Amino acid sequence: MEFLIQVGLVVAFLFLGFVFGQIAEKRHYKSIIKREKTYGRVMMFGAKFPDSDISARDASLVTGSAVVSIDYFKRFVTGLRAIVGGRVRSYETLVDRARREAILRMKQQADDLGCNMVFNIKIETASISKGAGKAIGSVEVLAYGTAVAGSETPST
Amino acid sequence: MKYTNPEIKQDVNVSKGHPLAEFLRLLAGVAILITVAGIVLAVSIGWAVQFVPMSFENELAGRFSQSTPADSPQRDALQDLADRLIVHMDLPDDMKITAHYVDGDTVNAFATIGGHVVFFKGLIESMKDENSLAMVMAHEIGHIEHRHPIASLGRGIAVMLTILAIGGASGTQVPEGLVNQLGLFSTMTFSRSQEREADTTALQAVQQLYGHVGGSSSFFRYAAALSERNPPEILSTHPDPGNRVRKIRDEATVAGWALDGPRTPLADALTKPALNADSQ
Repeated sequence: MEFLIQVGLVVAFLFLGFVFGQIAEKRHYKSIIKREKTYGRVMMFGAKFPDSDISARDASLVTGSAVVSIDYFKRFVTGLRAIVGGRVRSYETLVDRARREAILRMKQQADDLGCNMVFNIKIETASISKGAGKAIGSVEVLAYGTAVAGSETPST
Repeated sequence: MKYTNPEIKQDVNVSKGHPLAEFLRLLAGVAILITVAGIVLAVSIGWAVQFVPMSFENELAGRFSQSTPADSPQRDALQDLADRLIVHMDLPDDMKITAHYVDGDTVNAFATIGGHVVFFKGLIESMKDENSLAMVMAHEIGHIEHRHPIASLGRGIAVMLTILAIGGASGTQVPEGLVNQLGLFSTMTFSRSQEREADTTALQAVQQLYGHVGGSSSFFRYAAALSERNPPEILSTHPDPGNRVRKIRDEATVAGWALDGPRTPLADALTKPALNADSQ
């Protein structure tokens, strides 16, 4: 009987994790896609400094960070995946969402400052479960760069 | 130069496929892995126990519980019955059977490592005559003769290790309770084939002691009660009592044994425990 309760608990957690995890993920992606369209007006550059054909002013640091947690279902699937190997699909959406969310927040900050370009973009990922063992299964993504209000000058 | 940031294409960084499909595929794969590993372990342990010396088993048993039973007239009566049965059984020299009596209402008896057989008051009270009790006693001794308790212990440890190893490899939090439950479950139970083996051995001993196999049906009523207390059929390790009755009857008929005969009453110490306690 106790055995069945234990198994039932795991199944219940898996079910809850799956349902709520899927709802949260769908909702988040919907919001990400919508805001990416909105903040498409803020351009991103990997280069450290604007090219000579861009006249830029008002440089300031902009940052955006996002923390996304996995659910019980994803953790379970990843555990099974760790035995046999292969692409960890359940973590791909997690990292993808965190990265896009962090960039969006950075862009939003740049937009609020009246900037339309962000240079020298860096993205850092930190697992905040480090040291906390299995208690937390979350990932933090920090995106930062130099925002400027720039305009393209006609090339000579 | 014209600068543009194109829209991010959806699902570039995310593999296709439904998460549930992936989950089921992985679960099936790992389940097969565990099952194969478990069966290989169980079979190899079942085969290897014959090489475990009885002296080691006795020492192991001594570490877990006290080997000397609490003295009581009931225990003496049980030990006497065991000793009379052992004469007709084929035990190795270093295998000693020690009977224990537990003053509990549970209708149960079990054999454990180190040659210990434990009887509960509840079981003895449900027996009408010594023949019925002898069948249970011989059945439990049969388990010991075939080294079933040490095999079960090894199997339980193997199951626990398999689950822990897989849990560790995957980093999954296998609930500790689940590991213990599964391990304990396989430690405390004998397989159906082991039960049948013990049945056959027991029947032979009873036949040789009394000259007939009468009373063994009481033993199966006890088995039926046992399986009633373990509700999920799939987890029940005892063969269907009805089948066992039939099988035993067939075995006895084939061997030409009498299906019934004069019954021997239970020893006084077992029928009147209260009176005996007073007279002490």
